[in-house]
Amino acid sequence: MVTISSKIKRGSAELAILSLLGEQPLHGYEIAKRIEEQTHGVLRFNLASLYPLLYRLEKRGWVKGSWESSPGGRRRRCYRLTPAGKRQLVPLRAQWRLFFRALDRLAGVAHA
Amino acid sequence: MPDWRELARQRLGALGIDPKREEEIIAELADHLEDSSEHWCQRGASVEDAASRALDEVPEWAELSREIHQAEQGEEAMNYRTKSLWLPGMVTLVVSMTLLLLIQHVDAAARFVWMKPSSYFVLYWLWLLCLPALGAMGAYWSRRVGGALRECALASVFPAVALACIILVVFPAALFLDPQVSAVQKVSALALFLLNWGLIPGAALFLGALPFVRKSPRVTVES
Repeated sequence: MVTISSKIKRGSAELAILSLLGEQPLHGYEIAKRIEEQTHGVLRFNLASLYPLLYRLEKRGWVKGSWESSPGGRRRRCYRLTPAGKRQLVPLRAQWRLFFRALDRLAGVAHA
Repeated sequence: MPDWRELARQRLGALGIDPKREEEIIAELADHLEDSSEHWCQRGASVEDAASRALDEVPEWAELSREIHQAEQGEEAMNYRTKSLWLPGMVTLVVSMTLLLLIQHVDAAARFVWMKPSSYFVLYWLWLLCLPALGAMGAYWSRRVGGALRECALASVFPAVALACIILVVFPAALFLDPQVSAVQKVSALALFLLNWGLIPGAALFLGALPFVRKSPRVTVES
């Protein structure tokens, strides 16, 4: 199986997290799980790689974390996309689309 | 079942941030470890094995602690707004004001003056001709460091916005204190000043910024 280097993962992590939170608020563990499920295990974020990034995004004002009670009664820190994060998601998607198209033209990535 | 909070606290060590925030982070990481451990238990692992697998998510606690500290302190010396708006905007302002001073000093004739008893209008046409280039510089700089359309546009017209703000704060205070001038004259003078130092320079600056405000963003790959 082809593995993705951590540098590529790091670059795509912001888009992955913002896209997920654009759908619904999630807590950290759910974010990691959803990313793994929705990418069929190609992208995996563990505790060490996920939380520093979440805190960075929060510091930038793109996501906001708040403690909420889950149906089971446990209190979790849920993250939701802020209006600034929503605005950021649009150019970020466009940049990645542009990047993949450019890479495809250069190396035929889509047909590799 | 291990005490995940205590475990996370011990392994992370002191984060060197606000104690309340530190507690919050420890609680959140402990929640994650507990979820992860439960996941492995559900898959048939023993409690010890599940806990060990959960802890495997962090190969280096010291590294995680350092990264969290960095994230909490602000990842870069300058945040996004400073990089993409304040810095290019301030530089554009300083350069444009220096240029205006130079033009006033070197070529006093490079201006159009319209004077009436009630109003006074000065247009430094040579300065205005230079402004599109400065607007382009501000917009390009902002775009280059990843500024969105709004930051890009604001960085380019920053000198005009700053001048308009100064006029709106200082000018009315000075003018309205003078009882010799009629209200109509005061309002028309304020409007002329705003047109002269805000609107017209702003339009000239924005004209230069247009190619960058319209262009699609550059793709930068950070290592």
